[in-house]
Amino acid sequence: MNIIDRKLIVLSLAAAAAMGVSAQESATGYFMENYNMKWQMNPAMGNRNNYVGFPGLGNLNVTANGNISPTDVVYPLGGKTVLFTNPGISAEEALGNFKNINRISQSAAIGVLQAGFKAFGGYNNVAINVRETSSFALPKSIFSLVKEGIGNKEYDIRDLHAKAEAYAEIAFNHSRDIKQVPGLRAGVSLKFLLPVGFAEADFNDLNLLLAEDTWKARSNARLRIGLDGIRYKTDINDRTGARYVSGVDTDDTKFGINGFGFGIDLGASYKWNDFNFSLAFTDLGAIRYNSVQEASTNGTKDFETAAHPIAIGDEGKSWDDFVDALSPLYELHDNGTVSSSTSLLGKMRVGVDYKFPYYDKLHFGLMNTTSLSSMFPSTEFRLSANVEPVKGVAVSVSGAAGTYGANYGFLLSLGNKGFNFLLGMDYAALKMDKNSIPLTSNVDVHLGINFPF
Amino acid sequence: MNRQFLVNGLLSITAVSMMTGCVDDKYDLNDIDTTSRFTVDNLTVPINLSEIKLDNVINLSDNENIEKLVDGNGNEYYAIVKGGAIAPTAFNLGSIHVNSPELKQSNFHVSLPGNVNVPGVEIDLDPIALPESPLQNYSFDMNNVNAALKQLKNVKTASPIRLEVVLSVPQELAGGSNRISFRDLKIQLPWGLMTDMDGYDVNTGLLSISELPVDGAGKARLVMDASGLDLDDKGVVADGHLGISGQVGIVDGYIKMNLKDLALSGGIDIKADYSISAFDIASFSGDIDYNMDAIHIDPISLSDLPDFLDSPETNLIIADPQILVSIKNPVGNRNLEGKGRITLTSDFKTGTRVPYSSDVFSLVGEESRLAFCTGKTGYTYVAFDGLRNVLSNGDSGLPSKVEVDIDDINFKGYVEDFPLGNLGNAEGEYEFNAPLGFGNGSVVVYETTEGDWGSEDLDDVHIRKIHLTAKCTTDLPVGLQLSVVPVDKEGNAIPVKEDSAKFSVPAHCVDSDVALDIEALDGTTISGFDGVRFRAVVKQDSGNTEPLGPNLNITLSDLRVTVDGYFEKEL
Repeated sequence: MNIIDRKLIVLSLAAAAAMGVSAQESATGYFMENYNMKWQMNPAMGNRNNYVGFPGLGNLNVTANGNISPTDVVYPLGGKTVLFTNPGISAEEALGNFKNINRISQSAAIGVLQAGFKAFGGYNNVAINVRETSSFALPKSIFSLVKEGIGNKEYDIRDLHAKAEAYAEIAFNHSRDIKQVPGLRAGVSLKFLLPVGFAEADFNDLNLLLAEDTWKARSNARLRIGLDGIRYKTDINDRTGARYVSGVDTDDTKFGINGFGFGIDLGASYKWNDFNFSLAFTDLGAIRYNSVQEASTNGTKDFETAAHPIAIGDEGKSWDDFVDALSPLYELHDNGTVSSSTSLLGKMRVGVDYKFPYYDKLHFGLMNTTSLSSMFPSTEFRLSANVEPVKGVAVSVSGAAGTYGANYGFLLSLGNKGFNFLLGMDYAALKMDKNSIPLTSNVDVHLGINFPF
Repeated sequence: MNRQFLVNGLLSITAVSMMTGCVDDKYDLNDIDTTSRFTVDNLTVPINLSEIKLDNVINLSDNENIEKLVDGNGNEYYAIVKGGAIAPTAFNLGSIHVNSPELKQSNFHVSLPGNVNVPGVEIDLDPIALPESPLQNYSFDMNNVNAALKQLKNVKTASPIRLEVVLSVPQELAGGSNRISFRDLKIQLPWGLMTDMDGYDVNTGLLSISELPVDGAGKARLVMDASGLDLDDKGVVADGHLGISGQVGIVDGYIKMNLKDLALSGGIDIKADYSISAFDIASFSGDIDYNMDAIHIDPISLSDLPDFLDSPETNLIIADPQILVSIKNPVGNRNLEGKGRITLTSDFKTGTRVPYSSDVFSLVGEESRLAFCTGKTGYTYVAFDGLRNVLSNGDSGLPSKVEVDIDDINFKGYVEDFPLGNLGNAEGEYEFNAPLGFGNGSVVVYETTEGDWGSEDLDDVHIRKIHLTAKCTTDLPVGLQLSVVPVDKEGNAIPVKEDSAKFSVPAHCVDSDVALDIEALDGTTISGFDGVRFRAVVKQDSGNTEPLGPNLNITLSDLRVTVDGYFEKEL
């Protein structure tokens, strides 16, 4: 850790739009028989074999999602690749590709240790995972301001959010058939969460009103960093005497446990004839960070040019007053250490699996995954076809449509007992540039090496 | 359904999916051209300015030529103020020295009546008339007389003029019991001597003495001191010379002898010796016409005027110029009045020199205080019509300096007991005061370039139009026209639409609409600019000569600047 620049790590947690490290489990594999990690999407789902995962590679998931993609930001023009701000790209074309709220998120899940076994009248899974998520929301007004130019209008740039989080998870899962209701199976996962750090930046209110007779600005911002040992650096504004955050001091940063969290997954499935209905709620819970450094504007701050006339020949005093009046809009105050709780990004999954009557090795599934986060809501419908012609060879293909557009995916599982290899993508319709750099913002890879027995 | 078909199909789809990366080679994320344009779309910037005092705009506090003065109402105003000392110039009439004239001895023989033999017997002879003897000429020559001395009525000497006449008889006649005296002498001496001696006729120079005894040495001595010469109307000086002449000698008289124990025969020889001392004239009474050397005062240097007055196009007609002079008259205590005039010669940078002279002034008394072109308590007013033009010469700009001379200084009149020599200096002080109020016809042009902004970001700024509007209220006494032109790195003006980029502010206006447009030529933008060139022209044709002052104000309300353009740069 000493070798690694701590600041870089901290800032990376708080920075925007990194490309993926790891992701959530494969949605394409939700209905695959030979996918050992289904229980993480629905705790009611068990496996047919016991297994032990390869340490670190048993369940590696990397996902990036977004409703804007690189092709919304760069364009081919005259044999070159240019930014949307290039004068050759019209405002109409550029802004037509941005949404009202533009979201980018990436998540990572690394299965450090996993194991599953039959016991206690059902199936059990134990896993130690490391999870990381980053999410960003950018309102369209920012892009409009940049592309259309500045005019005498109102620019409402609220709803600008960013969040990043990393924690370790110790999960215990148990699922069993409910004898009292034939066909019903239920499961629960208890997850003990050990938070490492999080960072959150919110512009609750950022408004510019550039009228012809006066300009008004309003801001209400907050920055929180939950990393043990981290502190804000502060300076004093020589003229106003206000103490403001000028940087981050990472010298005493410790990448250790900074609190405690608890999550619970609840799930159920019901088999009826050739159908198997399933419902799950995952990542219900919260994490409490003991040491969170909060900086904010301390409420909404306003500024109006008409209230600060400029005088000529006063040796810059009135201009200094003008700047001083602006400073509360952007100077954050160190509110010290607070404790904070954040909710997990819960999800709801509803699925139905249908066994094809004419070939029992083939079944089709339809699943909806909906994010329960009010800050980063999303939903997706995914239709999959799953076949395991022989034990040990299973293939699923899926097609999806939702918040992040349309796409298709696949998951390949090879091996039944002794060794199992998984590889898949939920967003396989990759468009890449000439250097094989993805041009879509929905990218994921799922990889797993397990030893079923 | 064919199971195998389904399996194969799914496997195929899987295989395709695994190789599903579709390459769009129109995109190259490793080489993105980041050229970006950020537009300002007719953005109106409201600028709130507080009232602008002229003192905020024109910083004259460090300029040695401009001062803030206070008028009678307590209002401050700017003025060009220069002053200094008037160098001492001597009033010197020089000196006059007259050498002692050469006078020869004269002899004359007095015949006795028969032989005189008086051994042991006292004989009282009858007075014997002295024979006629020729008079000899003398002259008092005054040379190098100062040209100011025209006619001397009388002169007084520093020390008395001593005249001696010694009549000598033979030694053997003198002494003992003999008594000899000259009686009823009439001696011709120089005329005009100013003396207390009885019997002297100043007009003729004839001295009558009733008796002049001969002493034991055989000498009859006459000594007369004169304090000066009364020249009456004969003291006209010509070409620096005055000559006074006449004759000296014995005109008439008798010799009376009372002799004992003496034998004389034939007669006796009498010698007459004359001497007149040299003398220096200390003072005179008469007519004087003294022209004093011109007094050159240190020139008024205008090399350090504020920039806004330094343009060659500036033609400044001062509305209310003033010169105050305090000058000491070295001969004022002697009731001699002087006259003179003050001349200002403007030396323009083009080489033109233009003199302006005042009316003639009088120097009365020991000190004179003169106010040119203005009235001031305690000062004597002197007209100086050209003074307001001293800084003006059409399109030559302001002069680089103004030479100041007090010339045509003349002291003329009749004086009495007026001393010669250096009587002291004419000296004093002057102050040139030009309130910055502009007379009709004045034009002040100020052009400056604020450039060398040298910012790389400026190179990326392209402006289509800047539109400025405001309402102007001012109590400035002059109208102002301002034009603004963008300039490039070489200082060249960037072409903009004609008749744009200028606006006018009338004098003493209230809420006057002001508008300025800087607009690029059609199809172009104002690019590559490195600064702006301002040209302010102030013209006075309203007759309002109120001077500029620090508390004059300009208020720009409702100031709006609308900008249309863009910033384009490779990020």
